Amino acid sequence: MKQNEERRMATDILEQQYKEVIHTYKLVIFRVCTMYASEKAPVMDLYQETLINIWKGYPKFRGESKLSTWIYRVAINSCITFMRKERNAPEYVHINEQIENYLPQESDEKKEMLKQLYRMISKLEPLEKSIILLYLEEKNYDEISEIVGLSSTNVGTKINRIKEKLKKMNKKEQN
Amino acid sequence: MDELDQLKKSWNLLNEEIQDKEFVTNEQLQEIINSCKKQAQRSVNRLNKFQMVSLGIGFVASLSFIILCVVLPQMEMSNTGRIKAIVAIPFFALTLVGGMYWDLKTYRFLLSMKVDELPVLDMIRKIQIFRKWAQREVMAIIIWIFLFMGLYYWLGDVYQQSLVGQIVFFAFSFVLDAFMLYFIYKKLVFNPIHDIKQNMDELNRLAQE
Repeated sequence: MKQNEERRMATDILEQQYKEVIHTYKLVIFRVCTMYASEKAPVMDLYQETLINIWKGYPKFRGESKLSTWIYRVAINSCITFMRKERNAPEYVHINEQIENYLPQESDEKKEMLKQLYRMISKLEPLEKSIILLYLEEKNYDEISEIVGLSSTNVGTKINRIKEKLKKMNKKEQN
Repeated sequence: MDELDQLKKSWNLLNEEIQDKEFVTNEQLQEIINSCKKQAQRSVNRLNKFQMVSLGIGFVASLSFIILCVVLPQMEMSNTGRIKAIVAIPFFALTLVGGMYWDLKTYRFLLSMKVDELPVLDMIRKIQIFRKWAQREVMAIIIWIFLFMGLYYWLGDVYQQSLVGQIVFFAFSFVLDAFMLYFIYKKLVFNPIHDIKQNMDELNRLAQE
């Protein structure tokens, strides 16, 4: 009886902690999901998949890395594995309706800017997306390296290659 | 301003736009938690079913070998019939054992894909391996279909039929085999394994409690 009560209390605490973590990192999770969203993988589906995986993994999180690092890892991996189910997903992705809901309505210039952002992102490979996402999130090379699993030097090299790729894409688009 | 600066500017703009958005409420989070708990219980049942199916396949395969080694030599049948049985029974038994081994390998591989532990690079590598496996699986199924058709052509004396009869046989066999091996296999074996993997973490947690 007492054991059951203790177990229930432990579960309640865990659930409460989980909710706090999600509220703290809700924007981070959303930003990761927008990076990987496509017509076949709507942003809110990715968001929910990530929330589920955080719930599943949270009891095992032992604080060996920073909580934010762990959240990025789970979110990126959740989005990548979600794509795994969609083997026939198109290579080039369009902005989906749900993301458009978050675009500013009042300014065409702002809207165009965000569309441009998604257009460029959608043409990157999954690993490139994760690196560029963390770079935009102002993570340092060591943190990117810890989340992605590349050495810090390789992260720097990759970022330079992505820069080149983006430049080429931009040129192609202008032509 | 280079492309990365442009991206950064747009990224900051996105941040500003979503600052005050409420993506999920406490009630929705509670629903997710409750649904995960229910799913965990369902996966216990599915795991039991999977074990039953594995045992069943093992039993059928063992029975086939027993028939081949013990019963067949004592049966009264023509020489051709005996040769056919000697070829057919190992073919089906090997198919069952091979299929089961492949499923177990896939199941173990899926278990190792831990989204909360693996670095992104490792996860991408695993996905690429998984895709290759899926392609090989389809290739293996296609090869098996042709082997089976060839075997049946001989076992069922189809070669003695008219040309039209033989064409009808091949067309019908191909459609039927493709349906059986791909759709039924995917639905009955692959999808439950995938679901089990999805909920394995909860299973572990249940076991700890």
